[in-house]
Amino acid sequence: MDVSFAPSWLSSFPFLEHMKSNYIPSDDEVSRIRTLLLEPVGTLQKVEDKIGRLTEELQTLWKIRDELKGQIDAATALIATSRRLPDDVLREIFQQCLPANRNTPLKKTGAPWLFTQVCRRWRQVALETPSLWATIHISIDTMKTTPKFNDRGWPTQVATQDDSLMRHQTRALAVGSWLARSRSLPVSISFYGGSPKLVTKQSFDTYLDAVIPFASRWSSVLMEAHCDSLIQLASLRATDLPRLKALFVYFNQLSDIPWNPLDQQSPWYGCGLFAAPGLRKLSSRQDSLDPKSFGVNWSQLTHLELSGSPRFNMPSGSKFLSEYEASILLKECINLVYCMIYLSGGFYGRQSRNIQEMRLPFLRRLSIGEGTDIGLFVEKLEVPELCELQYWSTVKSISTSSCLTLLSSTRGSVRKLSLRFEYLEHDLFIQCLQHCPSLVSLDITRPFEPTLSDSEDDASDYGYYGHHHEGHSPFKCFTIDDHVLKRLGGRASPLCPNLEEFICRFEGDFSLSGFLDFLARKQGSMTSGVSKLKRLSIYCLPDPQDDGECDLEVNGTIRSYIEEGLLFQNKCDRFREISPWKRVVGDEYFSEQGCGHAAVQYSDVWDD
Amino acid sequence: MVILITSDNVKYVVEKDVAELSVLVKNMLEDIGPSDEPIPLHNVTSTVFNKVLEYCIYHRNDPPPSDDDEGCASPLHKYLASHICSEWDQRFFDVDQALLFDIILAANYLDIKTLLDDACKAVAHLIQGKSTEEIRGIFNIVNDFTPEEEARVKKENVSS
Repeated sequence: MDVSFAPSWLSSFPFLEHMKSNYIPSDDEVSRIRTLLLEPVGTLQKVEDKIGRLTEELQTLWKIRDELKGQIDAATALIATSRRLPDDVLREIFQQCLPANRNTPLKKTGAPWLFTQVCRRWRQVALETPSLWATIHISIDTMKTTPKFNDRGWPTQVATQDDSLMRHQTRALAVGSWLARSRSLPVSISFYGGSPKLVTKQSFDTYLDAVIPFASRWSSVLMEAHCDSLIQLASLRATDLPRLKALFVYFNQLSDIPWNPLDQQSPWYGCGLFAAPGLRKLSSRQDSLDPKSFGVNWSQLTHLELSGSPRFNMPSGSKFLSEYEASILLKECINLVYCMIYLSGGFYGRQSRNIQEMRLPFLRRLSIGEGTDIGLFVEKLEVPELCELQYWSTVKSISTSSCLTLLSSTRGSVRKLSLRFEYLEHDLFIQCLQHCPSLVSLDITRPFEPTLSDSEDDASDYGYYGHHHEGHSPFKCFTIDDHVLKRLGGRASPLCPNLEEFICRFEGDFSLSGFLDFLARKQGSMTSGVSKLKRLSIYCLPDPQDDGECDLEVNGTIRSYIEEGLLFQNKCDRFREISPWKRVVGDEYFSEQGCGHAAVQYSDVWDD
Repeated sequence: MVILITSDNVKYVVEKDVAELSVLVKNMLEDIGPSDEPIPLHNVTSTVFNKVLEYCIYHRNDPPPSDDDEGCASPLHKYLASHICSEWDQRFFDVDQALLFDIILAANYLDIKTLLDDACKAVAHLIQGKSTEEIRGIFNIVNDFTPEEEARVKKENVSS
């Protein structure tokens, strides 16, 4: 059918001029128009018929095409590279899917369980890879009793306590299968439990029944729940736990009752977990049990943490330990390489008399927190090999600081220093740095701005000032100002010339030009004997325009250092990474829902 | 310089230190001794080898993977290693899935551990958070469980 003429009939249409008007044709004209339309209407019908046929043909072709493509895809899939991955490579991919900063959570939609549901081969590879099943995080929380909802958001079936228990029992069975798949490997387990008021002990027991048969292979155990919920674990004997090396005790307190420590008859005291023959690493961050009565062989510990229950993710002082009692414990821990201890005088009042000499000849990493002045305690602490010191303090240091006392006894061995002080006199801070000539890494935090003195004018003249104290002039709280930066990068008597990592977690008191001078001196090759910075993290770079500098120029200067390898963060944009080359992960220790402090087990402080 | 020939007969002249990132090539060079003889890479096409070469040139000065990386490394070390991936690496692995799997097979054949590890991480990243059906699609695999097996798999499933 030739339809090419179709549009042309209009050109000879005698009523063309009236087509876009409201002209009313006469009866004769109407008849004429009808006659003239006969041919184009016929043509239109033919065109529509052809469209119909072609559409039908096209649909048939699409159908054939889809079928063919499906068959070709299925055949092509046979030769797809992804199918030909050797088992070892598949295993490596599986391994990479597991979380690297905590034990693998028990979850049906997550690795490694998911891999057993994809196909036969994947299932076989997953089941034959014991390392995929060698860690497990068991969250025993209230959300397991969440009711089901319909499309409109109404609860359709509220879980009863029996339903909830059944779900816990099903999951506990899965825990047993999981651990069995780890075959003979040592296993790392973490428990995270909700309040015993919301999750019954019976529910906890179903999980404990599932894990206890594997006790002989436990290598690391973290218990973050109420101690009553996990009491079944207290019945384990030391001989049941021949491979246990690390134990993390994070017992929760019920928030609505006052401090209520367990009495000395509690089965937890002297239980097998603490007396395990191979126990080398112990973390106790809790206020339920008195560490003094754990029954631990303190002298064989290489890693030790002693503090109260974490509050707002921060450790707090142990309620059970005075400085004197802590010294008795530490005196025995002669093999420690890492120690974290937080002291706030103990619940029963300070006992700073008769503090024992503590010689820790192998200690390389010390994290110490003080809620009360522990100067006398640190005076008795001998740590000749100390390399890393983290010091947290809420004490108002006026004329001296126990941190300074400790640093002055190290004879300059500290290479990594982390200070978190609510109050530290600026001059004392400088003196601390002077005692660290080998310092490579400095990380400083001032949790909040110190209270300004009565006269803000004074403060603006001299920087931040703390409270007035009787007999003392107001002190200048430590800060990073141009003077400090000048000394850190200075040519003459530089402070910490080997500094390569500098992290300041509060807004400093320096100018932009002072900062840029510091960077130029540190990164410039002309200053011999001063190490270049590899990582610099500051809290708020002053606005260039405030210093009369050009935004672009400053960015360009900093970028040139970044391109030379400096990892730079300006935390004004919180955690935003400026370096185009690397990503910083140092602040990723977050607490996920249902995970609690599970990542703590994986902190590098527990390295051998 | 070392001459390498891919399976589709494309010849590459590569600096020795770059070529020796492949344990396979290194061993072959040691076996044949000083020689101008080209080394055939039977299982790698030029398309894939271009990518492999790009990776080896960029990483030629990286410290060799230590024994620690084999399993004794601390969990944190492993965590950092699994998360710190330079922007260059991220761009490098931002390729279509077929090529990514080809790179894995090539790295496995040529025995370039760091490339294999990094490529496995990239695939792991690809499948994280995906459903079984989506994973099957990515890997071109089908559900070959019998109805009885599938029922058993579902039964043992973790209720969470």
